Amino acid sequence: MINEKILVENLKNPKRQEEAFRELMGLYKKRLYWHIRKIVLSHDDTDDVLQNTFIKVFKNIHAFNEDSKLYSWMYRIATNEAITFINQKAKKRNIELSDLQIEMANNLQFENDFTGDEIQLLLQKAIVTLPHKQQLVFNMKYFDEMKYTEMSEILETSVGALKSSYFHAVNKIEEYLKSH
Amino acid sequence: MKTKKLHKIAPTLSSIKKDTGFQVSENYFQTIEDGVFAAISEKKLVNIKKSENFKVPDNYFENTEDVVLTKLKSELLENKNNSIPENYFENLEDRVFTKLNKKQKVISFRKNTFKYAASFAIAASLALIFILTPSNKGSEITFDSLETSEIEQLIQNGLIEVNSVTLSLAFPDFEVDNSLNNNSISNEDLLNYLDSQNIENLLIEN
Repeated sequence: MINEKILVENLKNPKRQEEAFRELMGLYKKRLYWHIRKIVLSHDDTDDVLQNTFIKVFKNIHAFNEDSKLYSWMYRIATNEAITFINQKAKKRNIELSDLQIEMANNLQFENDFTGDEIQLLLQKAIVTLPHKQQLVFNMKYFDEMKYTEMSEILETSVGALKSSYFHAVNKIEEYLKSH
Repeated sequence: MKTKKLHKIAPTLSSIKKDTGFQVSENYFQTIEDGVFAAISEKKLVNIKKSENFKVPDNYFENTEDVVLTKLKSELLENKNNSIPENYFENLEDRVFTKLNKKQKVISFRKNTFKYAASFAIAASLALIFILTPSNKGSEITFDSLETSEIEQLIQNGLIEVNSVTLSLAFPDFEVDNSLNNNSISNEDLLNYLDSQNIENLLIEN
């Protein structure tokens, strides 16, 4: 298992930076990709956000506080980048973010890179009806099966609040699935 | 939330295969690093050697602490000399409120210009009309001889046109507000305006 402390040291060392950064991307690219994908939904947008996330990590590694976990820090950057991205997209279209997300979820059935069946499509449609924070919590807990303590570090929210948020999200999704 | 618990509270959800349905080609992950490096190179981040372009005087960092501490001490001394009176913050709120109350008592001329000018225009026009119009009964009608109810009746029936032009004709020495001069206000507009205002609020406001 990679020693995170050494990795961070190498990332801050100009001589080893590139090699360490390549290693870092190799370690986290898939997890971050799927995390972003569940927020922005399309592959092309995910690719943009993922690249921006890594670039931001690279640019800000000197400001990284080594008391926190590198993994949580990167996840937080990815989350912020993804949310900023969809907010800007909605602003460009001059529509509400929630309307944009509903439209994006409705269009999934026509996307080549979405191969989910009818019920999986319905689940995606249900998720975008949740408040934004609940969407994140639901995705991270339900699909990624992340621990509440990890989620707490990434989302900077207490474990209790996250549990409650997940509970509400599950109930709302169940209601949506039953009524559609 | 364990699977059993999830099944209990959300049976429909728990019956769904836990898969987002999103697809991505496996080749994508093999090239992501190169894509990011290309983007970083484009932004000229990799090739910039940090801080090598800037020089600092020799021994600069050796006495940084002393320089900072000396500066800090002199700033503290300066602050002490410019200190604020004792108990300044204790009654600050009271002083602010006293000042605010004083300001509220000052009547804003701008706010009331329209109302006063309009009232003045009505009175002046009525005076002009009744002074200049020959009396049908042979006796001269003056403003004083009219009852308030009669004046109101005349205005309601639209028999009296009140505007800033009438006002300036009647009182050439009186300077009418430009906004009133430029925008002639008809009797109807004036009454509509007054109808739309809550008189009580206006009175409280002023």
